Amino acid sequence: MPGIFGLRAYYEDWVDSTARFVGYGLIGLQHRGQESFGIAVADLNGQVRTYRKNSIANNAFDERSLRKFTGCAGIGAVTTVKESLRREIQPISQNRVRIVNDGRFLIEGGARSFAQGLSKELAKSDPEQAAAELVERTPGGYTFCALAKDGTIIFGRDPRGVKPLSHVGLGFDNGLISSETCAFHVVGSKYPPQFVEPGECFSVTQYSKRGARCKARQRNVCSFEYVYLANPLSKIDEIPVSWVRRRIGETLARKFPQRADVILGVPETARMFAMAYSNQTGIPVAEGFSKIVGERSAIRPTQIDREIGVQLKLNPIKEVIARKNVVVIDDSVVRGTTTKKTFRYMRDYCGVKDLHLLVGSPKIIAGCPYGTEVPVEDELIAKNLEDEEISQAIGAESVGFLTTKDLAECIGLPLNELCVSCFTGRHPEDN
Amino acid sequence: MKILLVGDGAREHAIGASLKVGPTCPKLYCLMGCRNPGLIGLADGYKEGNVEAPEEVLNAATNFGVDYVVIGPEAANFAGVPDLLEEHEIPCFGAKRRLAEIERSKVFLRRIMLREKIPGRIRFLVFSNRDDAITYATENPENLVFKPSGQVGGKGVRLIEGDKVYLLSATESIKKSAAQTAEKFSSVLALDEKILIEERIFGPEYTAHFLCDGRTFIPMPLVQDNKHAFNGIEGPETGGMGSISGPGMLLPFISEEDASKAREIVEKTVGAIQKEAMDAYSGVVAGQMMLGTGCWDVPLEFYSRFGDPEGVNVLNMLDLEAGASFEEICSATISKRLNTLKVRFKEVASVVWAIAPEGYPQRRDLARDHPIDVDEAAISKDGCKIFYGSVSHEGEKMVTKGSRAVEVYAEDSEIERAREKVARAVRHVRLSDGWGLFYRSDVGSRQLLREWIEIAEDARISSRHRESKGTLYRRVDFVPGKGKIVYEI
Repeated sequence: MPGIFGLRAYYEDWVDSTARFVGYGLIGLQHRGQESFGIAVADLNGQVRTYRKNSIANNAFDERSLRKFTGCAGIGAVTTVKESLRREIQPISQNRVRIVNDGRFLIEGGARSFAQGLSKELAKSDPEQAAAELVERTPGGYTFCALAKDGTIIFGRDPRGVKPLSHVGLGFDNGLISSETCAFHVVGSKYPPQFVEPGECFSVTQYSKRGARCKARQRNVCSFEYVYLANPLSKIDEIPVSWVRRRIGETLARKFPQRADVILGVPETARMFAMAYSNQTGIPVAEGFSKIVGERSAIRPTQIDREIGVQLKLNPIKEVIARKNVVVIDDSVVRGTTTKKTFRYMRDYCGVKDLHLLVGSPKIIAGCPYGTEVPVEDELIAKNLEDEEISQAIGAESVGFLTTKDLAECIGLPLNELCVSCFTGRHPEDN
Repeated sequence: MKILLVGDGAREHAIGASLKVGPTCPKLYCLMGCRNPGLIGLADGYKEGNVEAPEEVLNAATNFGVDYVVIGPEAANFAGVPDLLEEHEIPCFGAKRRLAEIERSKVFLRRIMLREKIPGRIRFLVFSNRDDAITYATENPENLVFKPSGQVGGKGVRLIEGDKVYLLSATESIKKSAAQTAEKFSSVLALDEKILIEERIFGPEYTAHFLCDGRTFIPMPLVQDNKHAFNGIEGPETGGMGSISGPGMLLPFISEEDASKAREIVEKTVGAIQKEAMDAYSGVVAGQMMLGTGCWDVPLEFYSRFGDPEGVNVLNMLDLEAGASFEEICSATISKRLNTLKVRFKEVASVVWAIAPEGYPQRRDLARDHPIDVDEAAISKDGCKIFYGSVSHEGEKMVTKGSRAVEVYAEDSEIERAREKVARAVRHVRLSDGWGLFYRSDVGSRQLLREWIEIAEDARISSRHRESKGTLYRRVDFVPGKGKIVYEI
């Protein structure tokens, strides 16, 4: 689930600022990937320079180094993977282009092979049209932003619109491209963002911006973006993520009205669910956990890293929950390991009475065909256990999940326009 | 009746077309800088020449023996064309030099509004050299607008989104360049005070045109121009890529109350400048307004002429069945009897899209000299009108001159329906050498209208707050270490 960002300046006095603005845009997307950070900038002489670091955006961002990257067109990405080879850190270089992407190209050779195709098309007089045709031929769920040596930026979205992509103006000075609209706020844009349509591609130069769209397919927007992946500041395809999260909390309140004294939302994403549940039921919401460190743990690359991250974040505050009936609302349950440990601690050392678990998403029973890291199926608790068994395993009085139908209603799109592959095991391309 | 029309853009094409229709059937003569195919088609006679040279205009007027002159572009007003014509007792629909000062000098406008306590004031600072301007912008991380102190065809205006302190050093060189650009453009006008920095306000823009004979103001339908080059409020600043108007006198996001605020501002400002110049205004005056967050309706600048493309909307919306023709309006303005005239506008919505060759506005060298094909019959069959802008008739063909080449107009009961007509008609314009044309296909779209309606509502809420706190024209700030600071504006 990387985050990608691009900037095309229309005025040449942006030459010293482009790289740093791309950097700040990526800081705005760091919730989408904390392991690598890379920027490529094309200068006015047709040279492209690339800055790559295996680290989280706000550590990788180095004002002094980025100052030296001059140019009026830049792209960048943050990813969830530490690359052992530096050249594999996005933006990758292939033929005549640098490219960043989110999601997965379901073709032999993946991103490199797509970039190779794109590089060939660039020479054509209408590269956006050629890119749209390439996208039509390339199955998968992906977004991309490519940079040519002459400073042309080409960006686009897969024909099903699985991954989100938006674009907007910043004053009169430049055009911005981002996986999520939250990054536009970070660099100061005030205009309403535009959303790239499924199968739509654009080419941008200093003096032109042209769009083209390939033949429409069944739309399959990633539903997990709304539940967990995206920042609540963002909108995806016109729909504010914060609204979806409020509706998820309200739906849980309607479906699973528990007799409880306090509602806790965990992790941070689920706090919006908890507040909406509380507003709906009148049961107070409280901050029941204290966070020692702040990075996002579920997107860490290894299991042990994830657990270290979670445990440093999830310190139950006994004084908030002791002698109380508690509802804990989580955004998702994957393996159930962190929930299990947390619940155990709450019961054994915090004197909690009843403990109910509600989950703001359907059961995760399959991997993601488009590259969002989900463990193999035999590690997924909801794939392997019935509800009552899950309660027993994690130590809850009850558990409650949303259905995919509930989730579609919360998002406000028909179920067949969403990708719910991780909740059903059915690949959208099989439809 | 004989009239001389000065200018050669799409606006002048629309003015010429409007002058020719109606009961008085005047003969139209044109003075143009380049051979506008639309005007050549309409004119009973024309001459090529410098529209900004008062002597040339006077000569043309005398040679054609016209009854009066209508001025299109502001540059002719700044150059004193109407003044020289008056000296020779040739009436003129156009603002004289000292009256056109409200457009020519943006500093003058802000000062006169401040002095006369005219509503719609914002904070502004004037700098005579770029270093002071840069220092100010560096020490005050706010959203600012850098402008040349005078009107240079809308060029040289830069927005600095400076409210994010962490972006301060990344925007250093842009501020320098913005100040330098503003200084450079002002030097063209030989103004001492070169750089105007204004607080950046945010909200929907609209243009409020008025016919004015010095005593009577007749409002025309509000129009919204779209300055960004590309769809989705994005891209470099242009002269205007398309405009919408109506249905009726207002816009979907501008209320009666906003419109009356705009009217008060324009009337008071024109009143103040008439007093100062000891002369009467004659022609069209427009406030290019913004319904801004926290400041209600503010003029970003004034026009001493029709906006382009906005003029195309309002001129075509004149209702000739129920009221006066444009020729009758011009005659009445000149003889100061606008108050006796019935001016009516059709209850329609209208949309204009400007079409420009790729390259405009950043690389006009790439945008010029392309042969252009226009299927006028097909455009009219699609229910649209075409107005030629930066296009010149050379030999057998028409070629682009580097700016907005043509403007396509349509009207209907709703903005979106007029837009659909324009969208069909633009297919009939192309460059025959294969170079690309572009236009803003979102001008008039429901989506964009919805966005402006929402932004307008945000602006009203924050403006009401400041009004209730008494801080609309009195900003109260606290600076740590310095204490309370009050700015009267």
